[in-house]
Formats: sequence, structure tokens, C-alpha cells
Amino acid sequence: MPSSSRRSVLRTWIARCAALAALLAPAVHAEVILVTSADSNVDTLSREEAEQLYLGRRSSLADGRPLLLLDLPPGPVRDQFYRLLTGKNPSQIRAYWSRMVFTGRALPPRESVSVEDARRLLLENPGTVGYLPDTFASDPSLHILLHLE
Amino acid sequence: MDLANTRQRRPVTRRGRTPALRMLSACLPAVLSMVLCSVPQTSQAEPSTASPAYTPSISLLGFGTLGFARSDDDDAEFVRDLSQAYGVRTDWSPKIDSLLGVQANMRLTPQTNAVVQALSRYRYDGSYGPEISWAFLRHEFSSQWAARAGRMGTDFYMHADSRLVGYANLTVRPPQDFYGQLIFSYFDGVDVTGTFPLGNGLLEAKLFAGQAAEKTSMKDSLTWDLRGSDIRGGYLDYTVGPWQLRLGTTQVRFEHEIPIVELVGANAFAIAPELKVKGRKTRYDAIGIAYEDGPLEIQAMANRVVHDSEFYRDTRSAYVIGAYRIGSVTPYLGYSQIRSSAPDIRSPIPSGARPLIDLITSNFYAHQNTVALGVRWDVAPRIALKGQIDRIDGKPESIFPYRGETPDWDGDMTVFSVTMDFVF
Repeated sequence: MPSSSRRSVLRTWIARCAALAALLAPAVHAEVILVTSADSNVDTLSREEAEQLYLGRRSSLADGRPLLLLDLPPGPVRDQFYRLLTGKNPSQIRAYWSRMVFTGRALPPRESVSVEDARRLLLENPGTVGYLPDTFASDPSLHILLHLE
Repeated sequence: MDLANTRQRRPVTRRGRTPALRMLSACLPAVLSMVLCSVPQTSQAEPSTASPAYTPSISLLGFGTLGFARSDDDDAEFVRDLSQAYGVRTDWSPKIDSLLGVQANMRLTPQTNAVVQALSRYRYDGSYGPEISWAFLRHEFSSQWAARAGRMGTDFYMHADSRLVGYANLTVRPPQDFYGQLIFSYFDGVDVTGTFPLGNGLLEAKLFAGQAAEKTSMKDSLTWDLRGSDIRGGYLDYTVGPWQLRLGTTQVRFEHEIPIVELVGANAFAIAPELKVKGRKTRYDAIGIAYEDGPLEIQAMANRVVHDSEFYRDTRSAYVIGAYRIGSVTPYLGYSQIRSSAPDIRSPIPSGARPLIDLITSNFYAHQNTVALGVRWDVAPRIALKGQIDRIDGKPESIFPYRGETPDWDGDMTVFSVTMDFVF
């Protein structure tokens, strides 16, 4: 086999390994914030409460106020959020929520179409809780409930 | 609820099926067009500025499994559970595991939602339905109390009401030694759930009551009508961090008699009335524990099934499954077993009738262990491929878990399964 063709085979394999490594590597967004509107009457949320809410084990606050939860569309921020909050990877979360939904135990969080849409829904509906990349941490119209890293 | 009451209520239950079916036929075109156009599966109402959070919304979803299974033994048929009339032998067959479910979730108010699910699967009569498996209203009275009314899944064991959703589960099918005897998938009734923070976790307590709404297979095309059988039970469930612990008990009082003449060719109940099942109770007690943290997943359950009637033998079964995820691939190893107790014939039996009674009780003997080795591969976001080998070691007399045993049956069998589970 000529050395140039061997090199190209080698290059293909290096590219494949790099692609695999990229797949296995943790998501790019390191930090995610759990937020609500600055006008919201939701002041605090413990990590346990947040996890129970986003896993559908409860749907309201301890005082009984129902809460609307927002999801981002599927993507790295959403994956990172669930990984940080629940320790589950995307396929585990999908399997988990399949169980919750198809037994009728819980309805999944409402899915926004984008980060901007999520922010808009949060501001228009005080009492809604959602997560955003921590680039929104300095947004004065949002109140940070949890910093996940 | 006494028996007289039960009888009065049954026609209401039957009438209740028609609107549910009408609902299904209304939903099906929508589901089909949704699948064909492959729009996002959660179609929610457009947000309005007033209160988009609480506008009523509907979403349509589905789940399914395309699965093939075969064994290495022609001397008995392997079934997924004992509601199935026929199982698989040495030829690959899609019947025991393949199924399709569609579901509509309706959010009516912030506290109220309705769920309707239709299911097509291999049933007691050898057909594929379809049937309405869920049709209930759920209301949250407070942050702690919620109630459901309508048709809903049976919660006998920890994952009993999701055992047909392959995508939600690790293994090809729930361990047959443990779940194989569970012939109830849904019932018509009510349940009440209380959820209480306890320590860092949540304690959930549930009580349910209602009536069975299914039939089951006894042998070949012979069926036993379970409809109207009184079902009541409850559980305590505690989740904290990666742990989930569940203690539950359910009692069934059978409404209809087993078709004994068709089953054994003689009216054995005339000789031994204590074998009658109608009006008698069976209790299912279970404990379950699950641990899921990062890539490691472990679940274990144990149960006992206790029959008041002398017809069935009591059983105990247990299983443990361990899995470790590596990227999108999750290999798993499981062990399960089932044991029957000795026949519990307390009533006096004429000596001439002894062989007949022994023949009956021998049908309900189970004594076997199963080692399952498999792998789940999350090949795409909503698709999981699975392959599994079950090695069953049992006594030759262990025939309760099977269908169609021949005299050469030796109690040992290897089952091969491949499935594709999906949600949409």
C-alpha cells in the first residue's frame, strides 16, 4: 500500500477518534442558572425541590402554589442542566420522562422554542421557573434561584 | 364495596367504554397526521400574553416496541406474561413483545389534566386489540394531595404500570419470573396520592380501588373473565437522591369463576369447593428498591402472591438487575427466581378425586432461576436497540410460567430477544 494512501487512512481514523471523543466529552456550557422573573413571588428554591420538580415528582411549591416549569429545546444547555441537577444523561432523562408521561404520573415541563423565547415566557409569566445559560446571570429582569455548575 | 354493589356498577363500566372508544377514533387521525408530517410531538397551544401558562393544551405522544424472540426449546412456549395465550418456540416471532401505544395528554386547568391511552399488543385471545388502556382525569387538590378517576395502570409493583413501555425500561421485558404472573394491566377506579417532603427526599403514599377491566388466557383459546374483580391496594414510596424504595400491597377479589370444566374436563369444584376462585382473594405484596447514580443503575424487587383459594399455589419471586452505562451503550446483568409453595389443600377430598386435584395444582407449580444478560444501545434520541439472552434453569415440573408444554419438557430454556423500542 502506498504511504500516501496509508496516511489518508490514518487521517480518517484520527478524525473518527476525534469525533468520538467530542461525543463523549462533557457539554461545552459549563454553568446553567435556574431563574424566575424578578417580579416573581418565587424567592427561593432548594436544589432538592428543583430536582423533584424537574423530575416530575412534584408540581408545586411547598406552600401549594402551582409552578410552571420551562424546558429549553433539546440541545447542549438542556443536557447540561439535567446532568448538573439530576446526574442523568440525555437518554436517561428521556427514558425517565417516558415512564412518567406514559403512566400519566406527570406532564413534562413546557418546552420553549429558544433561549430568547424562554426568557420572554419567564418575564411574561411571573411564577414560571426555567433555566438559562449563565450568560444571563447579569440580566436585571431575572432572579437567580440556583447556580448549577 | 360489597359484591352486590359491584354487580350494580358493572353495566356503568361497560357503557363507559363507548365514549372512550369514540375519543380514540377522534384522536387517531390527529396522531397519524402528526406522525406523517413529523411535526414536533408536543403540540401546545400558542402562548397568549394573558396567561399562556394556563391555557388548556393537548399533546399527542406514543411509544412502541418492535421485538423478536425465540427460544432453543420446542417443548414449551415462552410468554412475556400469563395473559398471553401462546408464546414463542424455536422460531423468531414478533408477537410476545411487539406493541404500539398512543396517548393524548390534556392540560385542562393548572391543577387538572386528562390522559387517554390506546394500546395494541398481543392479547389473551391472540388478537392485537386495540384497547383503551388509560382514560382518566387527574386533579391536584393541593401540593400534597392528588386524585385520579377513570381507567388507569395497575401499580402492583414498582414499575408495573410502565412495564409495556420498553423505552422507559432497561431490559427487553420485565423479568418474567417476577412480572409473569401479573395479568392485570389496568383497572377502572380511583386513586389518591399524598406526597410529603421527608428529610431530603419525598414520601409518596397512594391508595387505589376499582375493578379489573380485562380478561386473561387460561390455556389455548380458553379465557377467564377478570372484569369486575375488585382491586384495592396501596403503596409507600420514598425517593431520596439516587434511591427509591417501594413497599406495596394489592388485593384482588375475583368476580368470575375459572372455567374449570373447559380447563380440566371435569367439574372439580363440585368435589373440592375450596378450589373455587370466585369471590376469593389473592394478595400481591412487594418490596422494591432502585438506585440510579450516573452510569450505575441497580434495581431489586421481591414479592409474594398469596391465594385464599386452594386452586392456585402461593409463590415468591425476586429479581435484581445491575447495569453500567458506557456512552450510549448500557450492558446489564439480571438474576431472577420464582418458587411455588406446596399445594395447600385443606378441604377433604375423596380418594378417587385425588389425581384430578393433583393435576390441577401441578399446573401452578413454578420453580426456576433465570440469568439474563443484555445490552441497551441508545442509538438515536428516541430509539433504543436491545439484545438479551435469558438462561432459565428450572425443574421439569415447573410449568406454570409457560404455555403448551410437552411431556419432554425439562425445565431448562434459553430465550433470545432483540427489540427496538421507540417513543414519539
